[in-house]
Amino acid sequence: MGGKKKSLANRLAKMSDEERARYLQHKADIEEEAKRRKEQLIAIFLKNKIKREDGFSRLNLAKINQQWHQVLRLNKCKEMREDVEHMKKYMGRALDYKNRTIKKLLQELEMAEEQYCHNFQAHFTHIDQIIASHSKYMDLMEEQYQIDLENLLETSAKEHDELVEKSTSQHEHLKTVIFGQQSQARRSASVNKERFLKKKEDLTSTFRLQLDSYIKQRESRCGALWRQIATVIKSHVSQTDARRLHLAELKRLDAESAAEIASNQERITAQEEEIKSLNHHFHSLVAKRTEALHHLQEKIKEETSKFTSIRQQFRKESEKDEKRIILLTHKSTQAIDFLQKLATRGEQIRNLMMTCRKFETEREQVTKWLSLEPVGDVSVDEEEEEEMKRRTSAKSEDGEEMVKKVVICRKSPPGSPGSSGGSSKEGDIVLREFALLECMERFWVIYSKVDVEYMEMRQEKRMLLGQNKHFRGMIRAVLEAAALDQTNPTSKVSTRVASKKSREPQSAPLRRILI
Amino acid sequence: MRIPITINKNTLKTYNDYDTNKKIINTLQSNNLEEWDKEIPKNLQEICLETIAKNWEAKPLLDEIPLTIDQCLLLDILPTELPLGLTIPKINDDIYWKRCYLQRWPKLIPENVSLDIQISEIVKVNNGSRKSSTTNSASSQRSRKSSQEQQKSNKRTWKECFLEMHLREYLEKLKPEDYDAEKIKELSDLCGIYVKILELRELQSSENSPSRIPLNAIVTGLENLTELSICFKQTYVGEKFSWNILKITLQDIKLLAKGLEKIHLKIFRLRNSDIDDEKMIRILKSLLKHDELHTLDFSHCKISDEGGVALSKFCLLNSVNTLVLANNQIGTKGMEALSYVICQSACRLSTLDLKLNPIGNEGANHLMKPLTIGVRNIKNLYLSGCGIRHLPSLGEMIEHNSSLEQLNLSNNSLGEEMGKILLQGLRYNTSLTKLDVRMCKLLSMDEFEILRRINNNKLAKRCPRTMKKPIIIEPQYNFYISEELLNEIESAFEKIDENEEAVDEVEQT
Repeated sequence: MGGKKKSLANRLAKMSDEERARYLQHKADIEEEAKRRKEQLIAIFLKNKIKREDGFSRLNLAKINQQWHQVLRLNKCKEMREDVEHMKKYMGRALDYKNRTIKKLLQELEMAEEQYCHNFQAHFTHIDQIIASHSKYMDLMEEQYQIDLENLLETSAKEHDELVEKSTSQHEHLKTVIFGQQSQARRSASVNKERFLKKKEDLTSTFRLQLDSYIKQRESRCGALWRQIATVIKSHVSQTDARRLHLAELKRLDAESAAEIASNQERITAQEEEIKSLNHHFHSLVAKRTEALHHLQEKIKEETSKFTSIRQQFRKESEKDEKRIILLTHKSTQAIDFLQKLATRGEQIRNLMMTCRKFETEREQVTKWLSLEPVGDVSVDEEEEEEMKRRTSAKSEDGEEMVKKVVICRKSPPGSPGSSGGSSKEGDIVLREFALLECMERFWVIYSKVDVEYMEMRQEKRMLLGQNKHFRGMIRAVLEAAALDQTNPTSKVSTRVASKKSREPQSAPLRRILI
Repeated sequence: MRIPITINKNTLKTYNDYDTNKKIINTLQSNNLEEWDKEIPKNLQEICLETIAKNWEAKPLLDEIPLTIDQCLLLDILPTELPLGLTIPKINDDIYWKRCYLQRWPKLIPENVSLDIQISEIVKVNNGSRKSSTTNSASSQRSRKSSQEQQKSNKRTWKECFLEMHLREYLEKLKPEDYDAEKIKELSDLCGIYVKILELRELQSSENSPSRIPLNAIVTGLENLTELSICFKQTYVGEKFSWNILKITLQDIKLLAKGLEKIHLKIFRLRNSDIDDEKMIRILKSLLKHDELHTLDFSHCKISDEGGVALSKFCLLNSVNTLVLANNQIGTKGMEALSYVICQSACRLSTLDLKLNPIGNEGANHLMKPLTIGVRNIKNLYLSGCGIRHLPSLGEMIEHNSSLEQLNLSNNSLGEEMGKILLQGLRYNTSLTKLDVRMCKLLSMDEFEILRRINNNKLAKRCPRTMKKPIIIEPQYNFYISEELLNEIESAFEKIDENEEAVDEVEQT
């Protein structure tokens, strides 16, 4: 330190005032900083220490608590043990007491049971006696009843027997009586029968005699009467002859007239019927006619309505047709215009092509007709050559031919629409269109070639332009250099241009990129 | 009373002149027949008889009186408190004994006794002199007939009744301390011949111990005893209650057994006493030789299974008809033994009363077996209050059994299904006339149906023409019991011998 002091003092002396002040200040700053740092460190250290101490103190506190709790727990265990033992004793005593009471109660129960048994036995004997006496009484009653019943039955049986006997005896008595009477009756009947037969015979004989006499009488009377009748009839017949004839004639007339009347009647009825039928017929005809009229009227109506409707339709359609015609004329004019445009365009294209052909090289004139497909057979080559020849021969008509081909191509596919199927139509159409387009391929190839050439040319042009610029620049530079080098004696102003180059930093020169 | 056999001349005169038109002022009142002859002076015969009656103790004169009518009057007048030593041998007419009896016990009229004295008895006495009933019974044929008639009609004489009641009263009131053998001997000499039924409803016990009067001496003195009913309890205790009055010592029973060996009983009843198996077995042993024993009654005692086993052995050895064991504690084992015994032909049991024994379903099952397999003896079976529940074997038994007439199943909670089972069983049974199923928890419909069928059976029995023939099924299988039980039954009585011997030995040493 001393050495340092010395060196320090030396240094101080060497330095100027300002420097000293500065240096001292600087030192003071440093010292201050150091102090601060120290203080900080101390603070940090103390904080850490405090934290640690806190931790220790808490740990110790916890330990103390835990020990304290342990002690308390032990104590508590002791007390609880004592309690449990006490309870045990108490429970034991209570159980004993209860057991004893139960035993006593059982004993008492048994004693009570015994006493009850004694009572019951005495009671039972009494009841038995009562029941026995009652049953004896019942038996007595039953016996009595049986005796009475039997007595009654006996008496009834006796009575029954008596009655039966009586009835049988009476029955017999009656039978004998009946028998006696029957025999009596038979006897008397036979006697009477004989008597009556006799009587009957007598009477029949007397009556027969009487009958004979009567018959004789009446016969004679009958004869007399018949004679009278005959005489009377004769007289009557003679008297009534004339009248009878008249009667017969009248009858005949009557019959004729009756017949006429009948026939007239028949005719009348027939004609009536005819009249009826004719009437009927007339009515039916009338009805038919009216029906027919009606029907025809209806038809007329229908027809007129139809006619009106048809006329309307006709009118409508005629209008439609007119409209269509107008439309069609429009469309046709449009189509014609379009086609004319197309034609003009084609002409233009042709003209362009003609003009382009002028720019074509020979080689191109030849190669453009080469087939686009890869080289295959010789025959193909020959075909190509033939095509080429054909093509080269008919150049003027190429454009038209191409167009025609296109048109033909376009036509051909619609020429055969019917042959192809429905579902493949679309595919065919696409293919056909692409086929058509294939015709235009050469054209497009050429076109693309021309395009490519044109782009190439543009590039070249740019490049050339770039080069041109460059050359111009170079020339300018050269010229400027030349001009600068040579000062114009005629001019009054110095034409010496200050080179900016010297001002500018010396870096690599930027190259001019030529496109 | 004095029955006049001649009509007084005066009365004859009066009534011969009797004119129906006259009105009689003094008419006879029917409610007061005692005083009808107050006005009439007594004749000499009557006065003589009265004096004889007054001095009868000094000079007993009955047979010396010539006329029977006078004898009857004397007997009517004789005082009833004369000493028995005089009257019993001398007087044999029931007129006097009826008076004596009714005076002493006016409310206890015994049954089966001839309430109207038959005149034939008086007529029987007419001929010979009367000394003692024994010679008299052998004297005339008529007497024998009448006595036979009496026996047939099951009627007892008033003399018998009186003496029986007298003895009974004496014995019932006798305290063991006052027991006097001599007096007993005198009494038994006097009345022994006449006493046939002895029914002791109570026996006094001394104050300190439960021992009672020794019955052997009493019983041996009564030679003609045919029926003995004993109850070892006391009916009136008053203030001297102690549990001793309800207990019996073995000594008492031994004495009783000794006494029983010497007599012949027909009916023995020991009811309502503290008899358990051991005591019962002793008594049974002494009863083994009673050939005419037909009813045995041990109701309300404490007999349990061992007793049941012993009883079954007894039934094998002795021809007992009726066994009444109501209100004991016989259980399943006892029932098994009894059922086994019923199957044997040596057993003649026809009535078995097992009311209030806790035999339960198992015991009842055991009992049903012999009845189902065709044992013909049992006619009456009382099983009320036995704890029988659902027992299908009961239905089988009813179906197959054709000898059971009365069956009492009341107070067993049989349940409704049992009602149906019983109905089914009753379809084929024709012998059952009484089936008691009250308080059995049957449906009232079932009960009604059962009663109806039983009634049909009863009616059918009355007119045997319409009775259906019972379907008799021969026993198909035997009743099996275990060997142990058999051995027990065999050795039922020997146990007591062993015990006795042991006890005797102990006493001797």
